[in-house]
Amino acid sequence: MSVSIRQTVAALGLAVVALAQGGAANAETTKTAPIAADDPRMVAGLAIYTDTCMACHRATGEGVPNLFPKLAKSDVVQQKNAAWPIIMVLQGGRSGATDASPTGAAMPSLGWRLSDDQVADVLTYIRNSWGNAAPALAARDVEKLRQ
Amino acid sequence: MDEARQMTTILPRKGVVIVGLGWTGSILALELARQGLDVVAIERGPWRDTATDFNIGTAADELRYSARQETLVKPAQETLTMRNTPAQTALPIRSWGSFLPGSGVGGSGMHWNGQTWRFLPNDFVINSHLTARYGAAALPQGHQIQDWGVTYDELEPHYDAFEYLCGISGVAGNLRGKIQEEGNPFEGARQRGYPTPPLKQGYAQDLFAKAAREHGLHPFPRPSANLSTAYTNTYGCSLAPCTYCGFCERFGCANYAKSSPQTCVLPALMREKTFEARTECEVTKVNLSADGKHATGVTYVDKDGVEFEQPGDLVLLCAYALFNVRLMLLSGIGKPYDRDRNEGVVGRNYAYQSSSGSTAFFESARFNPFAASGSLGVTADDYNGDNFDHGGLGFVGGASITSAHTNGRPISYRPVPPGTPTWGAAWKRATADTYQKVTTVNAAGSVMSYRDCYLDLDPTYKDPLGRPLLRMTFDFQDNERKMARWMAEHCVDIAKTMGAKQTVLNTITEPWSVVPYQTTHNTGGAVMGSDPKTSALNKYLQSWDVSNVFVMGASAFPQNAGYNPTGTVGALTYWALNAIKTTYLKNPGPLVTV
Ligand SMILES: Cc1cc2nc3c(=O)[nH]c(=O)nc-3n(C[C@H](O)[C@H](O)[C@H](O)COP(=O)(O)OP(=O)(O)OC[C@H]3O[C@@H](n4cnc5c(N)ncnc54)[C@H](O)[C@@H]3O)c2cc1C
Ligand code: HEC
Repeated sequence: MSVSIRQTVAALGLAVVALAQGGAANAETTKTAPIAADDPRMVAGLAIYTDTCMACHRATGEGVPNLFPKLAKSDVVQQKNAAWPIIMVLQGGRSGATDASPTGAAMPSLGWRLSDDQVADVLTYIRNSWGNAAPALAARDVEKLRQ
Repeated sequence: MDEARQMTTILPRKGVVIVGLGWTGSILALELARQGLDVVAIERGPWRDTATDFNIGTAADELRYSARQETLVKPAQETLTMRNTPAQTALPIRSWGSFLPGSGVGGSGMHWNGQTWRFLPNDFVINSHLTARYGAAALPQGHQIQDWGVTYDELEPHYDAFEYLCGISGVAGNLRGKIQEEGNPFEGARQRGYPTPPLKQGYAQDLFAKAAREHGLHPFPRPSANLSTAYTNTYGCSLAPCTYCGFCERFGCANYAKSSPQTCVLPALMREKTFEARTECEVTKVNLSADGKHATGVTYVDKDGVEFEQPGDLVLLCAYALFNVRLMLLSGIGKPYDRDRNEGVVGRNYAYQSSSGSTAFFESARFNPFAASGSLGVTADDYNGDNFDHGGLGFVGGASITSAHTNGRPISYRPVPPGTPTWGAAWKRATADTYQKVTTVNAAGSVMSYRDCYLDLDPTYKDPLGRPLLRMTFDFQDNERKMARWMAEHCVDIAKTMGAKQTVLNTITEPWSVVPYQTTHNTGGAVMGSDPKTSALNKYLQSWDVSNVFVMGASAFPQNAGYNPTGTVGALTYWALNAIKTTYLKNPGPLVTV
């Protein structure tokens, strides 16, 4: 399933395929100070994160080994071009399975459940928590990527 | 008949045909595919997996999954008739209630709670043990209590295998004979501790543990398939820590935290090249050779009603206890139980679980019942099995006594004090007032086997394919009623010590009813044993009569113990598998001769 997402990303002309494959070396991150926790977007984002994301990615953003990727100190999450995280939340994805680690856990698609504002806020929250720092996202960043 | 025959497509032969892809079917499928055998699992319900079916935004839909029972077997697919005594006329269950088996990949193992027990060593030799300790006269009237033909020590490595498959969270009470402070001192010796530490308990459990100790009992955290920490099992499948959301029983877990075929087995199974799952196909019959001694395969119908014959060398019935028994009766595997003559074995010794206890209302507590998990709980086993002296009590058997919150869900979790109107403003006020201030102390008790409690084919009612329904004849007998009351009285005492301002004693006062949910712990009907006159299966769960048929599940229990069944179902599965792998496959035929 993640293959098809990567294809979607490529079709949109966004060169994030390398990032999607974990090629963090190419990630263009921005070294700003994190947005304050009491910023209204962060407050809303934390609430959404608690309800919808925390069960898997954990309160600390550390994720779960072999199942759910770590969002804390993640280049993928902090990259300037946030297309991959946005598409992940909108459409979901499924990690690869191998003989040694066959589970291939899924990130559920949540685009049906969260508005553009909510997706922007929750991503703003994860981009600025647990040591992460990256520019806030706005509803129009999300809107562009919804089909 | 001949016309129908002609229309049946005969498929290429398989090494192993598995009926049902739930807990037992999935484990056997994986292990036997890894032996290089061609394995097909034929499953009545649809395919289901976490990624596709349990989106975190919809998985906790109480109306859809609990009230409307989306993943459960529907009466139109299969139901049974029931009566309390052999003198009554049985009527069909038109809405499943007292027990709720699943339909679909994962079976009941998808929507179970996850309380994962080992039975006590004495449970396996219960007839010999009770007779030696109290004399044969102490056993209840009309009983057919029997030893299992397998011992706890034989099963121990296989309990271990199932627990490490699931990643069970708990704390050992008896490590290789050494009693451990925090665990259950009554359990049989285990070779190693649980794979993951126990869950965090709530306020009610803390109160219970303290009160139970004051009563001289030995409380410990209930072993749980809702995992406390991340875990990767023997097959490489990974599980996540439980979030205590309280949507376990009747639900699929959205975040991979509950052990199930979906989380523990299927990811590995689906990679096996010699395995095939055929879903939405209902097996209608196991086909036998002309002499009735050998299974040639199975017949099934797909969802369009098209009939197929699947030939196979080895047939494994993994369809859930009740449905295994019906398939055996419909196929003519083993001699059907005849209660009047007290002959025959298939359908014999059906048993269930008794439930009693206390509902406890507090003045000012905040139990937060929504922060729960299917197997959260603290248990004391001092009154289970024969862990206590039954002399003079007038009953045998026992119960695990537990304080638990498995959920605090909005639609169905509405406890109110006695005397509250059942609707209207006063009821609403009482549910709101009570929600945080009520908890329970419950006893899950054993049920012995009796001549009058059994399964057979109904003489009147048929399914849409024209086959007789299974008929259940069951009621709680005096022994169980006495035991349940004795346990409930103890539960009330403990609840009072916990500080309850009002307690209600719940016990069995009416005939058993199919309406309120009780437990999906149906046992017996195809019991294991050492005597073919009183058991349908030998000690390896192999049919005495048709040696290439093995029958998994709680149908093999000769009577039920004071615990949930699946730990023992899992252990028996690995035990039978070991015999199949090491002995049967090399030399197919009866593994036991008498
Ligand atoms: C609501 C609920 C809560 C439970 N909680 C607990 C608990 O906390 N602890 C515990 O120990 N146990 C619990 N159980 C019991 C546990 O789920 C079962 O013991 C366990 O799943 C049994 O495994 P099985 O393989 O025998 O049957 P299942 O896992 O039910 O699998 C049987 C499969 O066979 C399929 N099938 C049936 N008939 C046919 C047919 N004719 N053709 C093809 N396929 C067929 C079914 O669709 C199903 O998928 C619970 C059960 C329920 C329903
Ligand atoms: C059911 C568990 C689950 C939930 C709930 C969940 N995720 Fe995920 N998430 C995953 C999995 C699994 C992946 C990996 C998917 C893949 O590799 O294709 C993932 C990947 C991601 C990624 C990409 C990380 C990377 O390194 O590539 C982001 C960002 C993300 N999730 C954010 C969120 C947000 C925000 C929410 C809540 C709105 C959320 N997730 C809810 C399981 C979950």
